[in-house]
Amino acid sequence: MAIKKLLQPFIESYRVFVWCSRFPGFTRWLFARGNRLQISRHQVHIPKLPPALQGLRVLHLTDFHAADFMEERRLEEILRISQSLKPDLIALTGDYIGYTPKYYADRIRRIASLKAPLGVFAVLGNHDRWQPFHNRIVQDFEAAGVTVLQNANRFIERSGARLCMMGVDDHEEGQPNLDAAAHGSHQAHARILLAHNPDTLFSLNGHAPHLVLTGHTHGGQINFPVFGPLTYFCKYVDQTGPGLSRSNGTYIYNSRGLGMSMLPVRIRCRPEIGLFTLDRKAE
Amino acid sequence: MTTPNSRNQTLRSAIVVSIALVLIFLVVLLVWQDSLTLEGEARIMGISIHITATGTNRDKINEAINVAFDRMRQIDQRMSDYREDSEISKIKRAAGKAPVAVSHETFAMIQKAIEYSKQTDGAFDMTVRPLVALWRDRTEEGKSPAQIPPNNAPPSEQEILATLRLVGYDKIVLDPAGQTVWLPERGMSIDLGAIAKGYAVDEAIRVLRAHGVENSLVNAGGDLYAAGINEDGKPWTVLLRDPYEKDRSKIRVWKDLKLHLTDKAVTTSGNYERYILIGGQRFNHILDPRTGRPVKALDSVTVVAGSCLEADVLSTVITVVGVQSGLELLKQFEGASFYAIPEFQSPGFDRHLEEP
Ligand SMILES: [Fe+2]
Repeated sequence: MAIKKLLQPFIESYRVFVWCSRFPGFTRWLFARGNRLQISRHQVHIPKLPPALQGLRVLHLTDFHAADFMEERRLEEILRISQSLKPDLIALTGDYIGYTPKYYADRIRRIASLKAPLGVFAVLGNHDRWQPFHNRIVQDFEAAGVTVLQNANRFIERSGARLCMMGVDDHEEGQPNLDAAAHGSHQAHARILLAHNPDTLFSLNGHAPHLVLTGHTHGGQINFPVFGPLTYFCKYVDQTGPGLSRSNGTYIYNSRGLGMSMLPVRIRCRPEIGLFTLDRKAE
Repeated sequence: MTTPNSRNQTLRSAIVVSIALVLIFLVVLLVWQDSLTLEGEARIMGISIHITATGTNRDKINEAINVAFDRMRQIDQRMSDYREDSEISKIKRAAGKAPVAVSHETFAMIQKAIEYSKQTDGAFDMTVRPLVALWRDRTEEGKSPAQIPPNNAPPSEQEILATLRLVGYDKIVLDPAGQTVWLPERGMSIDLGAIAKGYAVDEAIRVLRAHGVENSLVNAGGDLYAAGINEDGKPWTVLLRDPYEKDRSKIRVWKDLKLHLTDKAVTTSGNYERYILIGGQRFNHILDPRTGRPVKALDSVTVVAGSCLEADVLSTVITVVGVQSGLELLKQFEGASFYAIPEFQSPGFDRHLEEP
C-alpha cells in the first residue's frame, strides 16, 4: 500500500505528459535535439545476387504516427528527403496514423504519394488495425498505387532477375501467416520480408528471406544512458537489440521509426530513414 | 478512500515529478553527443574549396576530407588549363604535331565532354578557345590608347571563318587503344575548365562516401554538391547571393535564393557586366561556338542536377542557348531544373526552394 502511494505521483505524472502532448509544437521544440532525422545506410550481402539486382536501393520508412506528434512540415521533409535519395523501391512497415483520426485523409494521401520505379510496398501495423482506419488505409493505399501485402507477396522482374517482396500481417492486431506470405518465394533471387512487429519472426521457421524490415519498437523511443530504454514492447528485440541483427544469413533490421507515440519525446533514439543497398559481394 | 485534499497533494507531486523528469530529459539531451560536423578548406584549382562533413568519429571525418582534397588536387594536376605540366597543356602544346598519351581519367573525361557536345548540338564545346582569343584580343578595355591599334574593329567574316576551322569537338582525334588525344591542327585548343571543377566535386563526394562519410557538402566556388542531410536532420541549405548586391543601383529582378538540397548538385554560370569593348561598341563576352559570334546570353543561370558535372554542362550551355532551348535540353537530363536571369524558373526548380 505504501509503495503504491509512493508510486502514485509517477503514475499521475504520465497524465501531465499526456496533457502536454496537446501542444506538440511546444514539446517538439523543447525536445528537438532528440528528434533530429537520420539516414541509416546499410549494405545487404546476398550470395549469387544477379547483376540486375546489384546495387538495388530499398528505402525503409516506418512508424510515422503522422497525426499524433508529427507536424505536417516534418512529414513533408521526410517524404522529400526520401524521394531525393532516389530509391529503386520503397518499403513501409506500418503505424501510419496512430490515435488521432483528425488528419487521417490528408496524411495518408501524402504518405501514399511516395513513388519508386519498382514500386511502393506496405504492411499494416497494430495502430493501423484499430478502427476506423483499417479498411480505409488499405483502400487509400491501393488507390494511390501502394501495394499492401497482407500475408501475401509480389514478384518483381528486372532483366530476368526476380525479387520477391513479402508482407506479413501484424503480430498483435492481425492474423500473421508467414507461410502464406512466403508462398513460392524460394524461386526468387532476392527475398525481402516486411513485418511491422519483429515478434512475428519467432515463427520464421524455414523461410529464409535475405532481408527483413521491421518497426513497432521506435527503438525504445526513450533510451536512457546506462539503463537503456524502458521497454521495446517486443520480446524479439529484447533479445537482439534494435538496429541490425543477423540470423542464419538473414539480415533483420528493426528501425527506430519516424514518429512518436505515448510521449512526444525521443531521447538518444533519433528518428531514421533506412536505406538498404543490395550487394553481391561476400563478406 | 482518497479525499480531495490527498488528491490535490498527489496532483501537486505529480507536477513536481513531471517537471523533474522533463529537466532530466533535457539535461540528457544536451549532454548527449552522437554526431559532429567538421569543416575543411583548401586552395585547389585557383579557388578556395570548402568541405563540410558530418559523422561520429572526428579522425575518420578529417581523414576523409583530406583524401577528398587530394583527389581534387590530382584532377587539377591532370586537367588544369593553367598548369604547364597538366595533361591538357601537353595536348595543347602538341596540337598539329603529335598525339599525346594521357591517363585513363583524362581520356574518359574528354570522351564524356564529346558526348555532352553531341547531346547539346555543339553548344557545349571544349575547343572554343581560339574564338575567345580572337575576340578578346581586340578589347579596348583596360588598355592605354597607345596599346590599341588604329582602326581596331570586330573580327571580320573571313577571320571568324578561319578561326572556326580550328574549333569543333568533332575534330579531336581519340585513340582508345593507345589512350591518346590528338588535335590535328596547329592552333587548336582544348579546355576542360567549364566542367573539370564539377567533376572534381563529384569525385570528392565519391571519396567521402567511400570513407563512410555519407552526409557532406562540397563547395568549389559555387559549384557544389550536397550529399544526404546535415547534422540537424534537414536537407543542406545553400544560399545563393544576389550577384548585383554590390551595385544596388542596377535594378534587376533577382533575389537571394535559398535552396534545400539532398543528393543534388548546383552550379551557376554568370555573365555579370563582362563584355568586350571594340571601337566603342560593346559585345557580349559569351560566344556561340557554332557561329563564332557573341550571343545575347542570359545574365545568369543556376542549375540543380543529379551530378555537379551535369550541372556544369547545363549551366554553361543554357547561358548560350537561352531559356527555350534550355527547356528542351532538360528532357535529356532527368531531375534537372534551372533558374535564369532575366527571371525565369523551369518546372521543378521550386521544389528546391524554401517554402514560404
Ligand atoms: Fe509504432
